[in-house]
Amino acid sequence: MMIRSKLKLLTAGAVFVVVLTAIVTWLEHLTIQKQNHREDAVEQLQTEAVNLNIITIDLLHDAQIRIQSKQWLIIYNNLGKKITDSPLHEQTTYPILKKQHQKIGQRFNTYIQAHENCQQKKVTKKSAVYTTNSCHELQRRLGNQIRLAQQDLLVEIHKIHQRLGAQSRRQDFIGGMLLLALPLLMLIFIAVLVLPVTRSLNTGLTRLLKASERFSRGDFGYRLDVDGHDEMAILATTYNTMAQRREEAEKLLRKTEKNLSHSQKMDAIGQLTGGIAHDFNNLLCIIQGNLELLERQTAGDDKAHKRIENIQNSTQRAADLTSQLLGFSRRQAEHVTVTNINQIIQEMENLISRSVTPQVEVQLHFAENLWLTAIDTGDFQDTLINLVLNARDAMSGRGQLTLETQNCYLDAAYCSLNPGANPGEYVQLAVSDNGEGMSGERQNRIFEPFFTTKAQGKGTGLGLAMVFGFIKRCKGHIKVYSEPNIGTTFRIYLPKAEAENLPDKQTKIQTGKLPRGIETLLAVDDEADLLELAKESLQEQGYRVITATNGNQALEKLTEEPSIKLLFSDIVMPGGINGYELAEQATRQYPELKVLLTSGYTEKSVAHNGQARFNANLLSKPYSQAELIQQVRALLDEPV
Amino acid sequence: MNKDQPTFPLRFYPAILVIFSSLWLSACDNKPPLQSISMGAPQSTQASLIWLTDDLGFFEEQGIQLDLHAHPSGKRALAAMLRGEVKLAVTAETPFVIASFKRDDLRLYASMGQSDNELRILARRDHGINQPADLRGKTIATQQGSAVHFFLSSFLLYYQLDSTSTSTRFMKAEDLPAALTKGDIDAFSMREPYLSQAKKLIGIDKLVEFSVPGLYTKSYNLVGTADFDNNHPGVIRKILFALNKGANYADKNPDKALQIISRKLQLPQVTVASLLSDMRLSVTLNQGLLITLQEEAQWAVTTGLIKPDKQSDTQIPDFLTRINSTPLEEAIPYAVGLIGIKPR
Repeated sequence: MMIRSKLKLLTAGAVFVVVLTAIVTWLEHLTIQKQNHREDAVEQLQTEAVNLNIITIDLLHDAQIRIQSKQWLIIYNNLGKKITDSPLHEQTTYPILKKQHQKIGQRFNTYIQAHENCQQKKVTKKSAVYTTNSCHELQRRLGNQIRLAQQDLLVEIHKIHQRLGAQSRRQDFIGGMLLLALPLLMLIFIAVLVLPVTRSLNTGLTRLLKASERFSRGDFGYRLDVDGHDEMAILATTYNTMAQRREEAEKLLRKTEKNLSHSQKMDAIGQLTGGIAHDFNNLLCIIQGNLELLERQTAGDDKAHKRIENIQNSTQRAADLTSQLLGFSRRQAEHVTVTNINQIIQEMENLISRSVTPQVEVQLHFAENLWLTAIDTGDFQDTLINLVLNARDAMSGRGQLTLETQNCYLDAAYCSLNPGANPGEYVQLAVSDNGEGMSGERQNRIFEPFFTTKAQGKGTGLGLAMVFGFIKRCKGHIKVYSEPNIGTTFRIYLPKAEAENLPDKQTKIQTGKLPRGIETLLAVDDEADLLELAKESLQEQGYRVITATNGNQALEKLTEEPSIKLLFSDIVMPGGINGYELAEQATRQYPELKVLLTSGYTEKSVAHNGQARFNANLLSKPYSQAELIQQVRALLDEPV
Repeated sequence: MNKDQPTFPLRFYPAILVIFSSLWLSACDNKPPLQSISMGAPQSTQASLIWLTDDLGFFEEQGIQLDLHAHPSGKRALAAMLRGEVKLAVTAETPFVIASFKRDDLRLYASMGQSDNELRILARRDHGINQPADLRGKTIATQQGSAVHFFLSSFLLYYQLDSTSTSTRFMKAEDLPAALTKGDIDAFSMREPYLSQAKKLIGIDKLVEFSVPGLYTKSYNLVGTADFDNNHPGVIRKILFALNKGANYADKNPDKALQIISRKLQLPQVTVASLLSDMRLSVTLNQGLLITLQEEAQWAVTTGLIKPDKQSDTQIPDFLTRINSTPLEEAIPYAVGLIGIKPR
């Protein structure tokens, strides 16, 4: 860099310019002052002698200037060798170059001195023998000396360059050898140390890879052999743990899916049967109601009464079937009571004994201090009978039937394995037989409505479906354990009753003479026949009955007839206003109005906030006219 | 070690050693024998690089057994070569130029050293010589047709003393100190060791020494003949390669080189160091050398050194044809700076 700031190049002549420009371009240390004409260059030399740094001898000769600066460099222009790659910038670090520079400067000044001597001699003419030729010869010799020094300088530069190049090549060679040696060392290292490890690792990795492939294909049962305590063993152990967990999760998932599928299937069947049963219930209500009217109208006609009684019996059986269907579909309104099932079972002991053959031994094991449970006792009785009959049929009339109750707690672990169960305290009833048992496939379908393995005409296929519906309705749980030729156990879990869940009031249906009244009632139902039947039944008891077929119409009637004391309405009705909404609006407008709702099921009509209170007075379809009349009277007699 | 593990029998080791040793020795035996080459060289600092390289064994490394013959001067060494006593010679360019007028088969391969301040004009102060101008009218002796002769010519030109203003006598180099001592001459143009001999004989107080650094660059060159080139292919290249190695050694190890040169030349290290300070040990072929050869040839003709037997003898030789740059281009390409030499 120092050179760059001090050296200045003055050039003249195209060839020289090209050569030096190449040098300078490479060096990037010099600045060029180019003069295309020799005369201009000479003039600049004479005026800027101090700045002279690089110049041709001929130019110096023409300018007749001594070299004043110590920092200079002369490059001869007729050198045939390439010098552009000479490391001139290194000159200060090489004494030989400095020495050569000094020689050149020395010889040049000698040359200038001789030139001046000749010029002086010519002027003074002191020596006639010292001819112009002698001057020219001397100058020629001295010029050649300068050229020799210049070329020696260039050779030294080349030598230095060569040395640097050799060093560079040596470094390159060493670097190359290192580069060559490094992979070789790596190969040796790999061969000696890594390969055995790699081979071992490879084997392990291959096994792990194969296991992973099987894993990716869904084969979670494959396990790796764990040998030793190295990284591969840790990997294998980790893989095995992962595969085991995945396998367990997969089993659980499949089971959940299976249960979910079963649940969805049961739900779909429930909705289907529930819908059919609801409509069928309405028809049965019409039939039953008309039969009751016909029975009164045909009083004294025994023959007609006999026929009417047959029809009523058949209708009742039909109503029982729809009741079972509704019970399965969970759409039947409940009559929940808090009870001790030990007591119910004890009350049913005779019935149970008569339900099975004498060859079936019935054993009852009751837990002491059994918790209470909030259930529909009628449904529970039906459930128990259904389970007993199912056991009887499984034992082919001979065996042992065991009923056992106990308190139990279903924990989360059990519930995780048994979707549909919720953790908590339960009252358990186990009904066991040592009958033929069931296969797994059969177990999966036993709760489906109309699924039966019994001979045609011996079973409806609704018994266990009704059990299933009861359990779900009371938020319980049922579990079946069965082994072919060993026996079957049904365990039903009924939630322990909480104090706040206890009903405040139980409707007691009065039997005997039907109560009468004179109040004005509003009956609402979209089913015209059913509406008419209710109207007739109530009118027969002295009531004034106004009817409406939808909610809006009912509200209008309420406005028109302020004397209406009780609203009897179906819950599910078309027209945008269901029974709950109607009751809410009506009681808001007429707070003293009594409300009795009726429905075949309650799920479709969601009781919003505050509407659930109307469920306290709910008449489930199909209802008897006596039930209707008694319920109406009881409500009207209640204080406001 | 497990004793059951098979081990290599120990008795085989000597046999293996013998086999490998034999192979190694046979490989050594396969090395080609050294090529013996005779060379004449002045036993002076002029030929320092030759002596140094020989001592370092670099010639042998190249397969050359150099048979060095010491001569009082390069001119004598060249004369020995011309007489066929040696194959090669180390000489200044001036004897080569003179000889080239008579022999067109002479070849110059490279310069192996240059010095621009080695030569001196030693004059008798007691003869009234105190400055160069006082040489006018005096008798100055030198060795005819040699570098000191050409230096004297340039010196006189430089100080505007042409040959007519002084009297020039020629004698052998070794006779000059005695002639100056006796007073047969007033001064002589010469180099070491004859300068020191004269100073010792006469006394330094009675002498005055003139020098003009840079006035003349004397080169020491390796010369041979065309026949040698043809009959010994590759030899010059090997010699130049070895010489370059010696020059590099001198650059890197100047003290060691000085010790070796002093020992070989049988001169005090101080003297050698002084002489080498103005010398440059480097194997080159420069354009300046070519011009110098031509200049000296012209000078030789002008001064009548060349006495033509026929008309063609005075013609300036074409030194481009007398310089064989090929060996140097092969050995040290960058050292060749000649214009007009065919490119490699």
